[in-house]
Amino acid sequence: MQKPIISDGALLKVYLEGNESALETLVKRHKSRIFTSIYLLVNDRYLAEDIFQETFIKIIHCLRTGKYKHEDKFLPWALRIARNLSIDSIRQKGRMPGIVTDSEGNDIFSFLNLKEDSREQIVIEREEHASLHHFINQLPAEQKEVLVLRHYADLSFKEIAEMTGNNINTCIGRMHYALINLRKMMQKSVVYVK
Amino acid sequence: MTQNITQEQLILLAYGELNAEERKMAEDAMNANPDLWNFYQSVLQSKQLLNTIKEEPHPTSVAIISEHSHDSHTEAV
Repeated sequence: MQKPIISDGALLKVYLEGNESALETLVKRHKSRIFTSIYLLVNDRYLAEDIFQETFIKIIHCLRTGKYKHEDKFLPWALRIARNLSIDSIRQKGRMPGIVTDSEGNDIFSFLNLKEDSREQIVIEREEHASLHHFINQLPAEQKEVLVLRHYADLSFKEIAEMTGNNINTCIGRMHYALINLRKMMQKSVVYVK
Repeated sequence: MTQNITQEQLILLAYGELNAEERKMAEDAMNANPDLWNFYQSVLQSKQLLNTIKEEPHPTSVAIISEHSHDSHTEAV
């Protein structure tokens, strides 16, 4: 029989009662979404590791000091902290997110159909991954933010609007332009059949 | 008669943010308008491509968080 999935809220409650492993479960459950979002926002793996740690240290502090409101959903709350730390970090370092040196423009669609798990395949996938990262980082900051929060953080447009203080239609419009711009960049660098 | 469906609404459809009635309207509009259908397919294709990026934090980062949690709990007790 499958084990029932414990909700985030229940895990937080158990954690506050002293069960340390509840936090580990939460980290394990959400680490990929949170880390991918941070990484794409700051475009620096080492910085992303720092911000990821800092996000959870802040979460732990808020939980221990009773600053977490139980009506907040955990993931949007955690992502709000991660986003704010990412923005602060970008400002402090005086760097614009999204400028990477990769200049590869290979066929980024072709790998969708590849199945061989060869060494060569891994190299190709890495290059294509870099290209996609590059394209995402070429987007205007406000479009990139909505794309990352909607696609990778899996927040709804309503949640993104609340988090960023923008109108929901503005957020949807930014996503629209982000997808169109990504498409244009892909078409410039790739020859593929529609 | 099909309602006017925008590309923004098709993005909402692709991300599962339309209700049943809106979904039906969007599907009817796409059946009647190949441009809308093509746009929707391009959104799905882009989503599939974006899904190939999935990053994980280094295990050390996760270990640091667990350690911090443990230390802060010990201090509180």
